[in-house]
Amino acid sequence: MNKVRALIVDDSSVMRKIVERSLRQAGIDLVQVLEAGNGAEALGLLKDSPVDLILCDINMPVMDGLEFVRQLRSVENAKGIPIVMITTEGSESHVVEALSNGARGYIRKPFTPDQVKEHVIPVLEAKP
Amino acid sequence: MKPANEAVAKSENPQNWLPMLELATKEVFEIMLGSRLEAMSASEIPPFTEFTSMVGLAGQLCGVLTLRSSTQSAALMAGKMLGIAPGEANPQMWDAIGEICNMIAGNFKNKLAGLSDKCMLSVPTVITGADYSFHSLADAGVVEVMFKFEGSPILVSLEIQS
Repeated sequence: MNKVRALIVDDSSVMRKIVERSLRQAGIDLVQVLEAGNGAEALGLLKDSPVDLILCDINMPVMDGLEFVRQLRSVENAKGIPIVMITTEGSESHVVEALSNGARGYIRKPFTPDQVKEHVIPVLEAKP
Repeated sequence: MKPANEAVAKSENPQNWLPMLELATKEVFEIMLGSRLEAMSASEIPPFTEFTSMVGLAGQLCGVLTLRSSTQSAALMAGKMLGIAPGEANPQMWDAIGEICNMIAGNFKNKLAGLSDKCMLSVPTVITGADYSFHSLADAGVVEVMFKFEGSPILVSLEIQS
């Protein structure tokens, strides 16, 4: 697998570190990891920093993950970036909304590194 | 069938949720911290006033879920989540205990059939210190589970509003 630049969006810095560690444990060769505390911060980062993968929480202050995914569709250089939602919310409507707006998968917290591997690797391998 | 806006606490005895709250808590600690929680009797419980994390629930299930622990336990939770020594994890204690509380609340509500789409969670709030009083508007009972986490007590409470 190629080297991967990842953006992790979660309002918990502890959770961002856990997601990064899980990606590395999954065997993903991370060359750059960007972190954002909410969707608005993430959109700002993406203007100047292209990434290959986004992992995004749903329930965040300022701009939640669903709004982030919606707005990402209109960001020219972000189209096609695979997004995996990582969320405590098991709400089916949230999942459906995220998937219909371009997310490629979702992982429910609490999660194991194996679950991260199971959901993220296929998304990266399917990337055009 | 229940109307979409009917509170589940009105139609079900919240004490029936005790096993699910226990399981939801144990799963979070086992999966995210690699710690197996041990049961604890009420007589062993000291006062919990150092770290209190709260997550609100709104919708068909309204209330607040709290996770209470000592400062030492909060540091240990943060250290285990991050894979570092508890002493190095002090700056992340608030974040860690808030996120654990959030995951317990989410895991619990996802175990209640049909509720996942009809109950939303707030972002967590964490209180530290002992000099405060906690007054919840919940009026439909409290479901509590107590455990030993690495030898130290933790308390998880779900206060429910009808």
